[in-house]
Amino acid sequence: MSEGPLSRLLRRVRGVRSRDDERFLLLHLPASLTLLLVILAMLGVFIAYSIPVMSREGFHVFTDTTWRAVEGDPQAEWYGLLPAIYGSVYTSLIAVLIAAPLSVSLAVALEELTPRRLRGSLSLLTDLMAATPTIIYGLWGLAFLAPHMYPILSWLSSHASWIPLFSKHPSSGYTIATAGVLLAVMSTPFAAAVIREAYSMIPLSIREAAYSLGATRLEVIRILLGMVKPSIVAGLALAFARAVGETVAVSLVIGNSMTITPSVTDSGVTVSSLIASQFGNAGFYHYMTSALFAGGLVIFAIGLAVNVAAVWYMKKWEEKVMGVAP
Amino acid sequence: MPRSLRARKLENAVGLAVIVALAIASVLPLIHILYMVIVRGVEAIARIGLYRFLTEPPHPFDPQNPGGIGPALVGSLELSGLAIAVATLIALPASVLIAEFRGSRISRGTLLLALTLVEFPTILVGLTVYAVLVDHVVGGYNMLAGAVALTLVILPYMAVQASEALRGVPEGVREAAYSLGATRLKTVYALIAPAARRGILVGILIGLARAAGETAPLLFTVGGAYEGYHLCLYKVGGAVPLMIYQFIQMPYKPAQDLAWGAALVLMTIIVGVMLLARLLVKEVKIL
Repeated sequence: MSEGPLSRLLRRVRGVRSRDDERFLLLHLPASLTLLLVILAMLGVFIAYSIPVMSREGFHVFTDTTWRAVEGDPQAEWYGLLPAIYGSVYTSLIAVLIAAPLSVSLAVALEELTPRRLRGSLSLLTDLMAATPTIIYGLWGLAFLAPHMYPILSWLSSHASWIPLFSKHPSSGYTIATAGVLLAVMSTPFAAAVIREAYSMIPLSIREAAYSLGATRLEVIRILLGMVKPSIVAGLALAFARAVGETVAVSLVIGNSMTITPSVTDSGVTVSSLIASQFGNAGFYHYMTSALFAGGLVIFAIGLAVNVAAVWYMKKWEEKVMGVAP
Repeated sequence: MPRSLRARKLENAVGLAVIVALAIASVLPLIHILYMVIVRGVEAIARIGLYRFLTEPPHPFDPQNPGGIGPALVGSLELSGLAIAVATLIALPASVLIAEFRGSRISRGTLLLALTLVEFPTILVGLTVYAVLVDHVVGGYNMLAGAVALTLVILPYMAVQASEALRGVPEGVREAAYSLGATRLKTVYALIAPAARRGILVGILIGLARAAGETAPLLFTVGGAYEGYHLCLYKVGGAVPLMIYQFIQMPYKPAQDLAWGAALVLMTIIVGVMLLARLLVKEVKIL
């Protein structure tokens, strides 16, 4: 049979040896192309929709703090996303700082300290935590966390206002701190799952060696945690990326005010909560929809950068463990 | 100088206690969330009765007769059902591609695409679908856009999950099939995929749980209409998570009660799906 150019191209894929294989590959390519098309479409849409505001304001849309929506007068409109970008990064950093000790402890407790009988039900609980819809977390944040954070935050701001973190007296429980705590609760099971997976991959011989030298349980845990350090970093990076993209839960507890403040007791805004709260009205203005898509482009870029870095870091660690394993 | 054994033992006890305390602290919120959803949800549903709550449309401003979540529930079933069906049809061949051509550039590239999409903020998926389907094709909020957005959210997860399940099938199965003269298509879909059915099914179940619970992809796509049953794909509709998001922000008690009742229904579905997945396999991966 003659070999066409398509056939020659398909044969270059590893695992394709016969006509049958060629047909098989050809039949499955559309599914893969769909995924590629989705990513390209997303990128295309965000760039295309950001152009109106970008061509008017340039990069000021990312660095300006003014948010001026004027109906019927496009020339008076001006949109600066900096407070929202700042809020996204700030709340996510708070979330990761809180989630770090929680997720490491959760992973260690599940892998090392939980009796075998309890392990099943406890890991079911953490699975459920990861599977619980974000709107449910938002509901809890709105109805329970925010009202209960308020007295704590107002006590802190009246007794420790010399610390910039608590410089502003909270006007309600809907603050940057509340959003940070809620995001920490939501992202802990994801970070813990990444750490757990790496922790369980450590060869038993290393644990045995440590115990045989007379190490206490805590010392063994410390040694093992030292070995999975990159997975901790990667897990927390994934948690950070998730926190940046989280929308409904944050928009219910952050208070949605366009300010840049170091004070966690003040209300704030994130890019995604800004999109969620403003998108419905954006049609009344000429440039607002475009500005919100430009905001989407920012979380697109942050998410992609953090994910790529985390995957790269994990790969490095896997190579290291392969070197350690017998 | 080595530290005394007593000091190390004390450090060990304190350290382990801190770890256990932090681990408990990290799961406590979920327990409190479940408690709160059950208490407030039962209260809201009991007022009108389970059957009427699940079938009647809501009256968020009427304290005498708050109604139920019927249209939103039907909308959620329609959206999740469509999303699961379409996502399975694309995710399965994609996962076969990843698993069958292991080591090739196409396999690695497809897996990388899927892994990247899994971590994408779902609000961006919603905005993209808004731009294409709402803004350009249909010209208004519509259920089809919601179904497409949910499909795109769960598709990459299901592809990754299914490819891992397929990879677990021993090579001997393939060799036996080839030696009997089976084509590759027949080998994969009549033997290898059925052997990996549990893992694939778990992927579909978790996908279903996500499709039922996601709010952000629906914010700018389905619109949110709850007065009657809206099943037409080209018109506005509603879904349970979106209804919770919109109703809890209304300053009316009946609307907020409806949101809590809807939250209980949603959590029941999620817990049921998770338990089912757990019955099928020991470890459920949600990443």
